[in-house]
Amino acid sequence: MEYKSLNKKAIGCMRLNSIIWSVILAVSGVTTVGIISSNKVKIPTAVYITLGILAVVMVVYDIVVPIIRYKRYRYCIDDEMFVVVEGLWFITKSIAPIERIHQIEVSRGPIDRMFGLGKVLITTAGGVVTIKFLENELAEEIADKLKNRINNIVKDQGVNNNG
Amino acid sequence: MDKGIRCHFSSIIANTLKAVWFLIVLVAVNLSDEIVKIHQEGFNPSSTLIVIGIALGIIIVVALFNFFRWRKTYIYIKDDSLILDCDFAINKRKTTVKLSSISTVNFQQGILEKIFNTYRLQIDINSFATAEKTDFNLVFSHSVAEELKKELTKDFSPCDQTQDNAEIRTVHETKPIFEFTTNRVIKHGLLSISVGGVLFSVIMLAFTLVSQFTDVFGTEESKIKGNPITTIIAVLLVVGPVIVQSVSPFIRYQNFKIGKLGDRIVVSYGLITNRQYNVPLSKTNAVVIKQPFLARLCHLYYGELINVGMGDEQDHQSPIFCLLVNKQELDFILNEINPNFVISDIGERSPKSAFIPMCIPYLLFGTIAVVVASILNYWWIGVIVLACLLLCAISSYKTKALNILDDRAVITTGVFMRRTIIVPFGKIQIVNSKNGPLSRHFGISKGSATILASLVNMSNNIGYFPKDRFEKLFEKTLEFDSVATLNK
Repeated sequence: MEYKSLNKKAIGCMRLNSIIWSVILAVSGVTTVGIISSNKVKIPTAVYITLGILAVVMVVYDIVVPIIRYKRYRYCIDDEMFVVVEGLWFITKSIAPIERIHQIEVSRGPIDRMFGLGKVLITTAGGVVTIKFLENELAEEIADKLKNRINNIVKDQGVNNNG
Repeated sequence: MDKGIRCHFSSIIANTLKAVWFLIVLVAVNLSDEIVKIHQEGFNPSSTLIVIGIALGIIIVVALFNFFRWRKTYIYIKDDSLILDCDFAINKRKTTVKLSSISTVNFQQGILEKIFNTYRLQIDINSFATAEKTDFNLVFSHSVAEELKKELTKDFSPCDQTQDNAEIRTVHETKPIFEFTTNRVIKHGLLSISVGGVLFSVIMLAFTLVSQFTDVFGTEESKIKGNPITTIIAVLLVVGPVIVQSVSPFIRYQNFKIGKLGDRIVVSYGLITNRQYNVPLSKTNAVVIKQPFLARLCHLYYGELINVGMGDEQDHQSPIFCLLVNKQELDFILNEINPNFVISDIGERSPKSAFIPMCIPYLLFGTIAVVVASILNYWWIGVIVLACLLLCAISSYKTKALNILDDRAVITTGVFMRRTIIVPFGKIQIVNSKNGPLSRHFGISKGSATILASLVNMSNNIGYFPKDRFEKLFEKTLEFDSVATLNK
């Protein structure tokens, strides 16, 4: 079983995703503090210090975490199964037999498109496993391969059932 | 059955009553303040007449809508598909379902159906998208319901069919496996009560009564304090769910019988609403054995069948196949249903090293509770919460078990209530394993196995076990073919 890593463009995509969330959180925090202080409520200095520390943590998070996530992200597809390994603190390994796949979908969000990336959503009867941050051509190639493989399995099963 | 048929006309009454009930609830919830005001100020005859007039008008409109929809709706089978064709201008729709995708066809008879001597035909489709609900609820007279059921199930796989391909018979004509007396039903109701729910209700009841009659929580300024109506409402809101939970099984599971007809399990029960489940074993994905806390202390078990696309709409649970029984009785029933589901051993327990990572989330929430309670000057409440959470952690650790057999996995989870799922490897769709820094240090992982089931049973969590157990689970899941398992 040979695991594959992602293209380095994935780091940029992960980082931009992370930055967007950080900005949303920061704007929410600043707005909340602004609303509270505009109501003549004195905010303790400790709150400002905490917010400052959180801001620094977020910046470090945006710089470092995508690199760790990129290094941890691996996937493997062979004739029998597909495996995805991902995570930061908690590493999750998801595995499903190819034979259980019901549906394959290639999806590209706005941020993915900026980096020329996409994701393959593999649906089984029990849920979805997603291979993220794949280059467009690779995503299409994986989806096609999986579709062909499933078609062959369905044909084989039909022959066996009729036979 | 090429010519379309309509549902029984009593469905118009049922749908209208349902809409009226919905309206009553809507009015009661949204206009409760106005109702209290009217009650206090007295009734105004003219405004009362207007309200009654509006209510009658709404009921007539709803009844007419249901009548025309019923008149324009036909159900028929064409080219191996079940078609529900509604040509009513306001609500035009045509639903086509392949007969091969139908998972189960069951009967239900409620009060209204009993009055009109009709049956509610519940059709479930083999689909993840609609696994949470019954796909079709159609009301017919008994003979029409039987005939339609026969047509709908004729394409079931050969092993689903009765051996003589005879008309689907009732539970009384099947090979009986087990019958539950009223005493057993009462026992089931009493021992199935959620201890957590009872404890929560007792705490909330104490809190409600103390806040109503004392100043411990500083409610002396409250307008509702000491008001008998608000006290009664608050007590009912707190105690009501426990009372309903305790009483409903007595009514729901009266005359509980389980039988077998060919490859089908036939389960029937009900005092007011008669239910009859007809579950093809080939479309059963797993069996779940449950032990609520009190039943666990008495070494009693009950079971549910996880069937593709089939769920109990009211209970949000899979069809139950037996009430609380002891281990010997459970083994006997499972042996009659399918010997593959008999388990002699729930397998290995979580290793000792699993206790620490398992405790961390409970400790985290407990600590937050202590900090918050201390800030509010009720530190003792925080300590009680922390102690309860630690108790949960210990119970959760002691409950987890895993047994990887030759052709199936036995996964046990729960905190106070023990839930064991027996699932053939061919039915497992995805296996996940997960480990954090601490569990990596101890060489253990936790995870889940997902199967095709309603949301409640889809993802089956596996506690912390050595990593190689998950590797074995991965291998076994790949080894078994889902189609081969289905046709077994």
